[in-house]
Amino acid sequence: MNGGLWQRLRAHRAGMTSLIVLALIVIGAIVVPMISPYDYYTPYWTQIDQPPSLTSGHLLGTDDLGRDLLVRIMWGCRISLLVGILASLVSLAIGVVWGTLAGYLGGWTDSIMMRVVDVLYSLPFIPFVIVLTVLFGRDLVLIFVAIGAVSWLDIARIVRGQTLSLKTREFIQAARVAGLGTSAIVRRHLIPNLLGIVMIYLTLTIPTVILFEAFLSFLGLGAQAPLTSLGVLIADGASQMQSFPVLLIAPAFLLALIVYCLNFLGDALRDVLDPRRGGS
Amino acid sequence: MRRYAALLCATLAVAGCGERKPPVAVPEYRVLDQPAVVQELRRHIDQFPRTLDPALSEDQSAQRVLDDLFEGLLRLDPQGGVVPAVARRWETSEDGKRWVFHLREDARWSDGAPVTAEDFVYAWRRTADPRTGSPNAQGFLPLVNATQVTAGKLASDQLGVRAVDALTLEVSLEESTAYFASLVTTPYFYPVQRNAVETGGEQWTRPGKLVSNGAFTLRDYRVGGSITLVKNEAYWDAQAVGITKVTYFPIGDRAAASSRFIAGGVDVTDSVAAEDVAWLRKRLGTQLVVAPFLGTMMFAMDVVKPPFDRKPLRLAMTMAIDRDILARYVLKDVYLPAYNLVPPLPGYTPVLPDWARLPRAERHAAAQKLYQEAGYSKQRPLRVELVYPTSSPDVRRMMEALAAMWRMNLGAEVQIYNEEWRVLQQNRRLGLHRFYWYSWLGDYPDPLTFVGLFRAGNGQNFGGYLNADYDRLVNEAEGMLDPQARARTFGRAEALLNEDAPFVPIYYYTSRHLLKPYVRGWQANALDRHLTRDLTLLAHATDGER
Amino acid sequence: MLRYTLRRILGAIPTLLVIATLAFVLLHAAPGGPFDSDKTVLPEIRASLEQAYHLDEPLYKQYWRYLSDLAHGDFGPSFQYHGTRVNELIAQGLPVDLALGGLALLVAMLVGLPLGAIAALRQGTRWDHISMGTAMVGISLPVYVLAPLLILVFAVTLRWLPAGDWGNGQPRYLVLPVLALAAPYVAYVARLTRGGLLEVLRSPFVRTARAKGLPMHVILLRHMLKPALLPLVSFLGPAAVGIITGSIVIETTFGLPGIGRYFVDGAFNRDYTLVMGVTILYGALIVAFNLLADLCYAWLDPRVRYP
Repeated sequence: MNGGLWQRLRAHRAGMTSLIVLALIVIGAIVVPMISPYDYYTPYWTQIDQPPSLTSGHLLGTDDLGRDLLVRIMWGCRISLLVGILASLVSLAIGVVWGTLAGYLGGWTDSIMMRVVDVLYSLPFIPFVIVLTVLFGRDLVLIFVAIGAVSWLDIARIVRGQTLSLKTREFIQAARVAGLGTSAIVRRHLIPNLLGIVMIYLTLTIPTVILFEAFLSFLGLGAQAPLTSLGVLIADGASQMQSFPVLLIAPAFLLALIVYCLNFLGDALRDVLDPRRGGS
Repeated sequence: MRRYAALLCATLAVAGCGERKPPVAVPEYRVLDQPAVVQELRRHIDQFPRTLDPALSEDQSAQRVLDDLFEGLLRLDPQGGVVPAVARRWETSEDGKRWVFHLREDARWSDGAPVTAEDFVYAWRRTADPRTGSPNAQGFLPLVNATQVTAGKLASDQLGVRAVDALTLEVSLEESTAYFASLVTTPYFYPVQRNAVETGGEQWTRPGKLVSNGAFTLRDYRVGGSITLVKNEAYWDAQAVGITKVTYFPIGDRAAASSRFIAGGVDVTDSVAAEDVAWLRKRLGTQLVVAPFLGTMMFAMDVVKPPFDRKPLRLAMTMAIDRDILARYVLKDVYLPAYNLVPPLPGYTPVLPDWARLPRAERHAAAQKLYQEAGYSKQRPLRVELVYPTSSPDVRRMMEALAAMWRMNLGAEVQIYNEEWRVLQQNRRLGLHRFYWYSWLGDYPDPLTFVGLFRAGNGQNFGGYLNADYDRLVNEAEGMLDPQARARTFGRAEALLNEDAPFVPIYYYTSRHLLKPYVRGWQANALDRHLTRDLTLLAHATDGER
Repeated sequence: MLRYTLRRILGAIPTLLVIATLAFVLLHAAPGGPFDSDKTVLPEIRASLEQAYHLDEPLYKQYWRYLSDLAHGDFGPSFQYHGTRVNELIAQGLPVDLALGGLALLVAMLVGLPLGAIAALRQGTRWDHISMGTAMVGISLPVYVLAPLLILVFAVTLRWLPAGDWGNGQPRYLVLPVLALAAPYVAYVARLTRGGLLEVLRSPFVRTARAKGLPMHVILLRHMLKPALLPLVSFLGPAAVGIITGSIVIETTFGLPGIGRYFVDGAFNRDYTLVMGVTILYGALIVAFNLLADLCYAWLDPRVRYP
């Protein structure tokens, strides 16, 4: 199965290109800070707001404290990808399990599970984060908790909606008649059929989470200065879009690139994972 | 993939064209030397005023509106000088403790009733009464019995203010208070009409219910939206007021306020984001007005607990900062670097510490020596957390620069982290932080509002600084009548503070406004108060604005 | 279905109660109080304020007081806006957000649905990529970049539209905020429509219909659209609530008098009653819209039964 999957993905041009670009970004995020002569925190007063240049060694120029922008963006990329992908996966895992169970079991279980979702949707988020920081200090793990706590709700609702529709289909009925247990039906028949829509939602969640992290760091949770993240770099750049636009354009471009690649890769994965694909 | 690449580039180019070289067309104004026909002013404020009750309001946005709605005994002229207002003249007793204000007989409320000394007595007692819950009650402390009244131990009619007759107000002060004249120009010393307050109840500050005695009256008020005032025809000096209508637009985002100004939506903005100053100055020239403002930003230290109970360390920390570099490269001439507590004031020259004049290398060496004297070294560096409130990117940038300076110049590991504003306020009140952001905006143009902060028992002295000599000097100066001797004594107190360094001064605040060239009568002043009654609009032609 | 709806409406009461309780606990657990200010507030004044707002009472009493006021439809006095009831703040601000949010939702659907449909029907072609590429702009440009950019281009440079203000809801004041608000939702709507349609496209009944030679637009409208919208409807329930209760970025950038900023402002200023008020409003809308979405399932896919 795995070999087949990989081969089908390789045949998918858009997906494959996106995968390569994403891989390059990840490699860049890991390697650039290691090989660059500059670090992300030391200011150079004589190098403030330098435009991009090959000769100076600052390929994207410097920021308003004279720090190399490329190095800072790559550090930001490390943090943002880590937070974005991990938090999205956490929310994906909770959301899919919660949604399929609620949808499949139905009845009172469904009602109660979905009311829990309603409650969590409505919790005032800022006090929640403030209380988290007070209770547990400033731990990077808290970011995943805070983001995970809100972002799995959409996935749970979408998955439940699909499950409600799926469980009336013939193949699920057949599986049930054949005496398959709940967990087996969920694992073998429901979840594979949900992957398409989940994959799409996941690719939308990652950029949202990356930008959300910037808001959390504003509340004292998340990457603390001088360490940075793509979201923080974009927010900072936005405040200077008139005076020094590179500070906005460079990180915003990288985020857009990541978003578009994830989007096309998500489509490709959806195509190759489609359980009904073999029949067509 | 080429296809997507092209698409992506196109998308970003659309975004980019706005950013790279914003072809902002700054309107060219031809301003004529004659008043405009339509005298309607549009002003920006930073937030929607929490309340228009002079006793309860504390935000600057409310102060702007209140300054137009009400008028106190005295007021500030455009330069910030104190001039007569409802009081025609005033005199003080020889010991400076008794002030008598003679009210003008033609002062009127907007409902036509005369403004009397009783109105002031009522308003002041109301603010000082703890049941009103005024955050400004503190401002009345110079008055006789104010301490007990604000504490609820004496009835508010025991406050040191009384109406001798309808037009004579007598104020008794505990000590001679040199700055009292400028104090009574603040909104919480404004009169309110008893009848309006008592019949209006909770809603007395709403249009139709609010009775005011200033140059304008309240026409329209929508919570969260704009506030419209129109000229008060009952105002005694109405013929001197040019503007017929002023609308205040609350815009929380300062960059957006600047855009609104350029697009012609407002004539005056109340603040400019520090990071926008450079390009606005380039593009708008003299339409950007930056002026010193009565406030100091500093870091406070807990001087009782380690590590900052050691004076050499405190001195090393403040000396290690290259304020010239900070001013030039980080603050970008938006703020003025501070070496001491009290910003420059009329009649007071700041007292700088001796090290402020040292060349950089020598200062660093001296700081290093103190750092080692305190027991720290490269092998055993100081590790400390510095807490600052959640705020704009330029603040964070400055924090990063400072942490880097301490690391490079001393070898100290200062970890900066931000805390939500209320959390920080509570934590410093509870003494949980050792090293934290602290800023103070003066209530009145007098050194006391600053040097008083470090006096024993002051509610703001969270760091626990205690120096009997300092307290003695401040107390002495407070009661002095001779302005020069007073300034000198404050200076000696400040010198002690410089020596003990219970805080790290960083910069003095500035006020920043955008101002259309056709607005006449605006002058920069240290208290940043600008009454609409002093402004007029000049006739002007533009290249098609609005 | 009627029984189901009634049961859900009755079930809303305990749900809202849980929301109110958790919000109350969270707010009071956060450090700092509404009267912690920059200035020194004299202790007696502080005490008097706390007494006036009943903050001196034990928490359970405050909680009970809040609930009994709430039962009478009273959200209490705002802590930061002296002399203003939370009811008034919401009543004045909500219409602004309803207008903006309703229009933005409409724009998001009108733009997102066709983009998603085109992409699905022409999957893998240039049309697919162009429409998805367009839809994704809104999610790759954060709103705090997009909103000032719109102002810069259309208000400052071109001078076609005002740079902000509510302007009593005149259409030209609404254009830019509605666009900025709709942009990210366009991406979600388009992506979910495309995904939903692709699922349905491969289902046996569509293949049968195609084999029968029915024209594509007939198949699309009569057979595909409804089941394909399921994921979108699941998403739209809470998303609609988010969009019609306003956005702080949009409101502060355009200077609009909505309630979106109360969620943030209120929380930062520890305006307990204000945050409670908007939270309960938000919760009620969430419950209502999620019920609506659940009812839509049965209409979209008649095989779905009510639990």
